[in-house]
Amino acid sequence: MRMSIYNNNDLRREILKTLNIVPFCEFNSKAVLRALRESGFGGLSSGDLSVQANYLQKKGYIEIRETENFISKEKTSVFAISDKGIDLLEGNHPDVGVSDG
Amino acid sequence: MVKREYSFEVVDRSEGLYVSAGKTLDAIATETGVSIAQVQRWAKKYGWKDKKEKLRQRIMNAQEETRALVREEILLQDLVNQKNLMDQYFKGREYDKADSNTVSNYINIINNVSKLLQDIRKRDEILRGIEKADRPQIFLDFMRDLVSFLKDRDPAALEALEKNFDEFIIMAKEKYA
Repeated sequence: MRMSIYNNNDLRREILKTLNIVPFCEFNSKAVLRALRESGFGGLSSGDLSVQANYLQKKGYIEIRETENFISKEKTSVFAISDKGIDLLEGNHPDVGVSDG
Repeated sequence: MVKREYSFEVVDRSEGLYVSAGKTLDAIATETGVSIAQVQRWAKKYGWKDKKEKLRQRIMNAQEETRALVREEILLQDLVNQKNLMDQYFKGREYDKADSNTVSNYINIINNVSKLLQDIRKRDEILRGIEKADRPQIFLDFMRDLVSFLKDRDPAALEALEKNFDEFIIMAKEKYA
């Protein structure tokens, strides 16, 4: 089994911080992956991102939606931070599963 | 016992080794040939620990701002891509006859692009502010080098600089601050 090179709690927090750049806005998962890779998470795989994004979704911190490209019809996921996710970043209800930054 | 005098370069180099290069006081003593007790005295007298912490904080802030800027730019590109796709969708369609959800999404994307552009500009200003905050330190370092240089090579010039020091500082502030 391949081990993740990142601390999962830190990665979850960085995903939330990235999505919180524009709260409630939906971003393509590929753009989120690129943004994280180019700002301190160099070797992050799409699989690692997907696992941590699903964790955050289950906890209600982000919303994930499957969408389809208007033109190419290619299927892709989009992520957006939720109210609960913003509350967590603001320190209103700490979670041991996400670093407190 | 004769009190040993050290040149400014040795003190300055030792400070650089501690503050910027992260060396321990013991390592600095070995590297410079100065006794550990003397290095410890300089560290206390010139507040090396505080300077090191301030430098660390400035570097961390700059790294954090740079990371945020990189992310914002990538996400902005994603929004522009989304907008371009929708432009293609709307091509040849009249907006009032288009699906209301799609129009609403389109407006949201344009608003978000505008918000992100504003954030990027703000971030840019913060980064420029961090760079600007370093300028007094650079000036101070330069002045210390100049004094040290003149002390050895041209004491008369050093005396002249000391005589006109206040005037020089006023001129430098006007020009570079």
